[in-house]
Amino acid sequence: MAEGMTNKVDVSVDTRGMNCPQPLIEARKKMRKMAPGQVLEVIGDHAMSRKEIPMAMEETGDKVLDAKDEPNGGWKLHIQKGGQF
Amino acid sequence: MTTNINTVGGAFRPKKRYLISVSHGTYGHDDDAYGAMLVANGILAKGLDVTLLLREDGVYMAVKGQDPNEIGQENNLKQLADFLDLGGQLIVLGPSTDARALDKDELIDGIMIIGNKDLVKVLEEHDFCITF
Repeated sequence: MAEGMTNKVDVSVDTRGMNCPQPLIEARKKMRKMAPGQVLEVIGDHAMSRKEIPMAMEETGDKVLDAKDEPNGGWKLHIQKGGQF
Repeated sequence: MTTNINTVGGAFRPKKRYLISVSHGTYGHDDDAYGAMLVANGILAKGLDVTLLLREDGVYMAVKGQDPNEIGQENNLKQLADFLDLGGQLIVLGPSTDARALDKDELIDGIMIIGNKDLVKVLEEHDFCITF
């Protein structure tokens, strides 16, 4: 569990060092294999993906539970899978 | 619920279908082939439907076991695997493989080979076509 983020994480994916759209692709690949209600943690450092991933996940009915920005430019997202995609 | 529905903020709208047609293979045109894969996988990851059509020299992208990195070309096999993993539909034009003496067992798993007659139907089934 990431510091300051209290959700129970079921699956985690580390996209640090990847550029757009690869972080979204890696997150979606994980999400597709998860059950509705489970929580995915996405770790990354690409600034555009920090904005793109929540937008794309919400488009498909998933819910962004929490987001945390790190002082070094990195970030973590907690996203709960919906039932649609 | 039908899978051809996308929801935004509680409102339903038809889910658009994208056809990405690739006529340049990895060899000599690895920027086109790699760009096509980035676009295809990016659209898929946004939750939209994508069909990837490989035709003419584009069919070389689907040859299994190749390693174009050895000659300085981008290897798209991982991107193709991601594409299938994300639920994309991969179509190869049969006359293009025939003209290059490629058998189906030389191509990666998960592809569908179609003839010229089926190509019109594929085009009709999609809302947008992007060509590389």
